Amino acid sequence: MMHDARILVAEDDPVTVRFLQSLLEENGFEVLVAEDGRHAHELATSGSPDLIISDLVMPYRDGFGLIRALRTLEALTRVPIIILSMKDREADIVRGLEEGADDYVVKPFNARELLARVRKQLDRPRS
Amino acid sequence: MQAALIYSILTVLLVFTGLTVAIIIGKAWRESVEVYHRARRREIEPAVLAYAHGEAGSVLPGLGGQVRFRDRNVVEQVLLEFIQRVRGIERDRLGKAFDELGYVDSNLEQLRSARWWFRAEAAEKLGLSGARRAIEQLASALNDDEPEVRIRAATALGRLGGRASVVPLIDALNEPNRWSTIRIADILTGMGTEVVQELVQAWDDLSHTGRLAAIDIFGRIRLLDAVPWLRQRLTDEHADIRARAAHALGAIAEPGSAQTLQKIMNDPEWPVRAMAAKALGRIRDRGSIPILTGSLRDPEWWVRANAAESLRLMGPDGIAALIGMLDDDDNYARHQAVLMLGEAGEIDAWAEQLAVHDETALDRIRRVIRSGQIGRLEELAEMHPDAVVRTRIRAMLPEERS
Amino acid sequence: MNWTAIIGDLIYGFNWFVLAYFITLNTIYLLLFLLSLFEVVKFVRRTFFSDYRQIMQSEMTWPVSILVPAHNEETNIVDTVRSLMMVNYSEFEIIVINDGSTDNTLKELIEAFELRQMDRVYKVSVGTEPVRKIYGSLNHRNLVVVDKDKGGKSDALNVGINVSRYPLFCSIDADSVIEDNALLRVVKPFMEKPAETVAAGGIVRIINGCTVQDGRVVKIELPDNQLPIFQVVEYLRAFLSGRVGWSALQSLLIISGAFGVYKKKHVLDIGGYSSDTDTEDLELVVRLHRHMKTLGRKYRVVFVPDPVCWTEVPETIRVLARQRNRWHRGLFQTMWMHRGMLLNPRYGTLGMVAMPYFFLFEMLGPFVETFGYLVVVLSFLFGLLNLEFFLLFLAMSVLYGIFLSVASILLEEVSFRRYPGWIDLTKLLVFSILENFGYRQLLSLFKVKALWDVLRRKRGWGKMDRAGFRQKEEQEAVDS
Repeated sequence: MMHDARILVAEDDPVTVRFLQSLLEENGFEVLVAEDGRHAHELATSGSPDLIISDLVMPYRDGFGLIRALRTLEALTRVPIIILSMKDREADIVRGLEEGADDYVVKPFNARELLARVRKQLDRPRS
Repeated sequence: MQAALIYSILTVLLVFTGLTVAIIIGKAWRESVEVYHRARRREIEPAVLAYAHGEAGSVLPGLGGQVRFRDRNVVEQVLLEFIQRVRGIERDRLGKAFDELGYVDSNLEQLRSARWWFRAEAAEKLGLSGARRAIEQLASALNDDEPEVRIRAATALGRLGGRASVVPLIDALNEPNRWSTIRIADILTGMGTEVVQELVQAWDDLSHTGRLAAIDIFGRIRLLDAVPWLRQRLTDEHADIRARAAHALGAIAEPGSAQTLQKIMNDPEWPVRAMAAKALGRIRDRGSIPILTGSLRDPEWWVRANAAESLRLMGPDGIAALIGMLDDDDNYARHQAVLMLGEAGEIDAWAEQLAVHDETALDRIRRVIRSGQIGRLEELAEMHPDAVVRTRIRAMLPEERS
Repeated sequence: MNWTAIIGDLIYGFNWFVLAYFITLNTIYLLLFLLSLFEVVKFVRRTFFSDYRQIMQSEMTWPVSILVPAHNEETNIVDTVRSLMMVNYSEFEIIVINDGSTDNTLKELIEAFELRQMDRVYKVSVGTEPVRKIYGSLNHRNLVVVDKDKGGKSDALNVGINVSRYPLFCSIDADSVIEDNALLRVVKPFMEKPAETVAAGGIVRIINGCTVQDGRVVKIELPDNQLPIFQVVEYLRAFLSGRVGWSALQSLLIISGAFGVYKKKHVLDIGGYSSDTDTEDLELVVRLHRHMKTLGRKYRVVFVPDPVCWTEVPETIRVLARQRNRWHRGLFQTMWMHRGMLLNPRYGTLGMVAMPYFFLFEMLGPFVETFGYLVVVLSFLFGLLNLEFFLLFLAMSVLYGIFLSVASILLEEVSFRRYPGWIDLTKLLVFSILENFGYRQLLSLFKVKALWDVLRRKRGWGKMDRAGFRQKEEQEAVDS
């Protein structure tokens, strides 16, 4: 298990943020929080996260746009991105994965499942 | 006179001062309560979360062994906020804590309050907390005099799940309020296929709006078994039911529905035709191409637009049908065809061909120009990266239209 | 009896008339306030339970066409469209109608959204000035921009109605900003009572002083200048304790053009917006009422106190005077056009209460007020009045007025509390007192001037030199 991994959480709902922060920190991760799409973009480029958990509906820049923008950056093409969204329609899930996300979790989410998915993404050798 | 004057001025002044003082005290009180709650929250939240993530049997030790009376609201709020955002083990643990701390009991009591907004709030909280032992009382709250309480109770029952809540929820579809119907339909849809049979059985007792919602639920659950029943609805006496049924059949997209849908393409009501045209496109039944092509001449925009979109979805055959309509006598049909060919990128592709002088492309572009819809071509004449293409299009376009 | 005695009696009588006028007017305000208080408290209780988050993503909400008429709006049109795109709603289209702008409005839009010309076929349901071109965007499929010859705001809205595809349309001013959930909240009445609701309007608040970032109000504060603060108090009073009350009486006559939603079918039935008055929003709603009453159908026009549309108000007296002049002329023209409804029992409360109120107090009131203040003060100074009457007059006009202004601040404090700071609250309270010494009287003067303008120009109550006038007003608004 990686103890020093840094995770960027892009999410505009403060309650979800606090939940994720507590969950991830308890499990030894370092957490960066961005409450909107633009801030998330800044933190993703400046904070060198090892993994990104992103909401889809956010102010300034939605999750799809964020992922698309991040995937064009050299340093971030390989950072795993997990979408965490209330949108549960097939079309949104497909689009999210097509835009470059590695995984998709629907809200309300199962905490332990999310944790397992995070670990799996981090353990995967990035070639 | 003098006394009356003094009294009236004094009264106005008094009421005015009272009002100002009330505003200021009200705000001060609210703010101090908020500050206190925020401070308590900072201590309570981590304890609740640690319990949720962990293995401890009870939340109480984390909270210092007891919840003080003045913290009760904060703790309840924290629990409910997190409960809504998770599922699985953590949710169960938070729900258990909610019951353990006595909130289920206190809300069950509130459900009998004399004031409706307390009852509504209690129903909402019980639903969120997942307290299954509240099902019985929530079911009886479905007969509450206040609509808001009925809706909250229905929603709560939906969250609690189980067969016990399906029937009352279907009854609640009869509420004329579309806002609540949407919520209830969402809940029923989430319950999946088991709902379909119940809905079919309840059909005769449903109100008109309830029926419309029921058909939408069918379309969203997409159960193949419901198809024959839905096809029968295409002959319903109400146009909206025929239209929604067509829509639902399109969503399920079972190829066998195509023929029945074609039959209603000449329905007297345009919403029915529009939905049937859309459904045929989703089913992608090539046999429907001729009838959809004909619908490009429909007097209603929605029908024409849906028919054109459906033709595009049919692939090359549909595109060919659209090209065939470029010379049609009907102005609307021509325009719709050009519009759709433009959206499908066909016009741009033909323009591309002009660079190598392709006869077919030339002919098609001429036909587009004759149809009168030359917006995209005018733009290509200005913006296309290839100078040859630009000149050729410009040469073909009529003199400046004004 | 000599003539001085007659004049003395006349002045005496007039003074009592003015006193009676103020008592009646303020008592009507008081009743409206009490009604509004009741309604707002009820409203707040209900919204507490609304599940906007879920409803927002449902496919079953009615799709809405948002119409944005724009004339010389190059400075903010792109921000406005961006903010509209972020609205929480499942299905909507944005139709910007460029009404013959002479600046770069169109160019800004084309560049920002990579617009390309599009052949959109639509049915011309209402006759309008010619449409030049229609543009669409590949990146934003729900954006349509219509370029047309200049024809005024109502003409632009009619073009928007023609081009729109959805059963509901929402009119929004190109210089205002709406909150994320505003559309959803104002459409809610249509979903609660689909058959009856024909139009709904939301509250309009003042953006001067607030911090706006990318088409979003991020920090709410009172304006720095005094004139806009007076308008904040005035808007609170008009919307919270005025329109809420009228809406409860089923007699809401105005839905602000800055933010309103209408059922397209009914607006088409009455031929769309009319360009015969200076206030197309007021006239449309009055005509809708008239139409629905004539049909004899059960219907409602609703004011929702919460959806928030932020709009900019004049910072200078000159621009304010011009704006109020236009509004008041519009009121006059509308009352004239629909004078048949006045005191006509066929129109129920509308004809017997709301129309007479608007006629007597909103329209003619300013005359009485202006001359009343003048005559009462003068007669007191010349010793024609005793101190008691004078004090009574002040109590009934000014003190009563202050009480009502403060009451609407209370209404805001028990309900929406958009201004969080203590300084802002204090300012609001102080200004609600101050507005009774000067600001209100100033507004009355503007209105008297408007009546004078209407009566002087005999060219009928209808079209005046409005196109030219408008251009000037907007130009100056930009300059200031």
